[in-house]
Amino acid sequence: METTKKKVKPQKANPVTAIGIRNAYRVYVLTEGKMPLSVFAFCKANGMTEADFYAFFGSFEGVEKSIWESYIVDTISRLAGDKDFALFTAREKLLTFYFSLAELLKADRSFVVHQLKGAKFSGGTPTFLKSFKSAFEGWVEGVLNEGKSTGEIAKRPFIEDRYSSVFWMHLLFVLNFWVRDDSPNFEKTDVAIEKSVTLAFDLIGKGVLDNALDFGKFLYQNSKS
Amino acid sequence: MAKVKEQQSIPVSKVQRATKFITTGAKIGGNYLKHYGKKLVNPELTKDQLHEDNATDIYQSLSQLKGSALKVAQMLSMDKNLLPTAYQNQFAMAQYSAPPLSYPLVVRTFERSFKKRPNEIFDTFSQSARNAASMGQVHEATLNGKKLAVKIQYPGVGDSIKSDLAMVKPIALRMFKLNPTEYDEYIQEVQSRMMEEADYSLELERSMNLSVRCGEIENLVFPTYYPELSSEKILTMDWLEGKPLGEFLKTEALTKAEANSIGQAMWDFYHFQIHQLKELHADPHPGNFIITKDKKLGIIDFGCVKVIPADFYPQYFQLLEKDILSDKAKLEKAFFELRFIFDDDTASERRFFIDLFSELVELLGRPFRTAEFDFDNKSYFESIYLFGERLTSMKELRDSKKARGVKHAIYINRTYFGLYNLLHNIKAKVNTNSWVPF
Repeated sequence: METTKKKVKPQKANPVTAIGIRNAYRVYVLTEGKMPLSVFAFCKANGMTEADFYAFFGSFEGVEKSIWESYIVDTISRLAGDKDFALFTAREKLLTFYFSLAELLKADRSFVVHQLKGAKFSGGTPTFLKSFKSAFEGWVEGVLNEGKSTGEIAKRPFIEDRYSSVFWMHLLFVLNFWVRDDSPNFEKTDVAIEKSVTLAFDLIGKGVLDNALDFGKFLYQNSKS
Repeated sequence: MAKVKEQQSIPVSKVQRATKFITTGAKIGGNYLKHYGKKLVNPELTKDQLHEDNATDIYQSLSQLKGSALKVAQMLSMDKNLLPTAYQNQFAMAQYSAPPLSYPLVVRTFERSFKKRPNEIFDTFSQSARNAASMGQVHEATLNGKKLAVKIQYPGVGDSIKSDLAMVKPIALRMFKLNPTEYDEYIQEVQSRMMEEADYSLELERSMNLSVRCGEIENLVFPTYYPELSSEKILTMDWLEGKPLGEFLKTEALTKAEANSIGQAMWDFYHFQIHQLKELHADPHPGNFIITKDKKLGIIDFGCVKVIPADFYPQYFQLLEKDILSDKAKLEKAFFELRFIFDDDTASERRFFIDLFSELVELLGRPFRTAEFDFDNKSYFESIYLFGERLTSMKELRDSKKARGVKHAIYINRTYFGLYNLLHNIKAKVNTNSWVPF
């Protein structure tokens, strides 16, 4: 699609705010199907100056990162508004987090799908997801630590340090499932979340895995002699 | 005993058709029996244990399917006398042990329906489920001092019914040696009932309608339903105090008079629906009845309702007419209409099936031929069970290539078997002419 074919209608974003720029950027990407050619062109189309833009973001990647980060930040602040939330177990907290995130993303589905479908995961985390990832990992770390202190999650030296990255992979799974979900209201994503979180907590809770590790260690130690 | 011979070929396929008169549960139960019977090395010694093992296996694979397959398990669980006890117990558990929905998912379901969390709608709301229902779970809530039962459906159930049943198909075809056409005809009826069950809006409408229209019947209690607190996925009704029938019978005893009055209420409930309303609560599972503190019968769960088609009603219920067994021409005509016998049957086939189905009609219609029938009658139920056993070993049935029976009968049969079994468990003596217009 050529940019000359159709221009986005200039939108007044007065006064210029980070949220205003994010929204304008979203609209641009969704109507044009790609990133704006230059910050200049983007600002002109949206009735702001380049200085307005650079006051908040260094580049379009910065805008994308910020949009994605806001998904996590907004979800977490929504959770904090629920008085029951603090009393939940780690498993319930994570479930609530995913359900709220899915709800929040629904309002922005076109953009999310557009970004994820165009993303390449082969070279590590795509740039636009980096802040999203660190915000999520920071949050999930806290939940996991709570889980460890209550005994809901088993303490496993070395392995437990990787839990937050495992949950990051899990979040990517949920996102990808949601992108491909065509059930009404994305009900199947709910089921996927429910089942996968249950499984994940079965695995990180005390149980079979610990006994298997313990047994494996025993066999290893006795095979050396 | 010709046991060994039977086991060489699993005599199930045609039995499926011919015994449509017997319930779904009976048939499949018989099939499981035969199928696993094949593996039996020493039938006399290990039978119970084997059944127990098999039941556990089957139950475990079914319980993973949740939704619709759980329903199939439930259907099996009903026919106590037609299933070995071990199977019965496992399947009875099916209703109660599906993994519950997490509270966050319950909250999510509420937010979707009402844009509110349950604790914003109700004064109190239990975080964990109080009971499991076949396609959802029940939470306890209070609002303005009233105790309520709030049923919440598993997400995606409606969607997964078709795929679940499709998943069962290859197993069923192989295990029961059905041909795909026979299977499709049968499963079509089951599927449409299940799709209806997954629609709580329809259930709400039917519950309100049927409970009002059955309101006159003595000793029955219905909860009040709350449309404003219900949606496609949520159904809110009064909490009926008391115990589910199954649990009640295990833990408490009824006096003879109480048993009879509860049994009579149940009988009247069904026959009023069948003959007056021509649509009925087709799920007589012990979990769907509550015995209240004053020993009345509470009815919950109108998820599975079978509407009796106008042309099917006279076809089927003529089998209950007083002279049906003595008037051979009439009986034969009835069997034609119900597709038990066909025009192109050979003379010997016809004689065989007429005899067989006459015996069945006599046996199952027996309670209707006296003014009063005592369901606390072990020998009667044993003869039904033995008859079912005998059916599964008949060569003529195996060799018949035709599908015998009509699909509308599936749920009616199932209801009758459920009803008979419940009345047997309650040990009730009932006036069987009540609400029966013959």
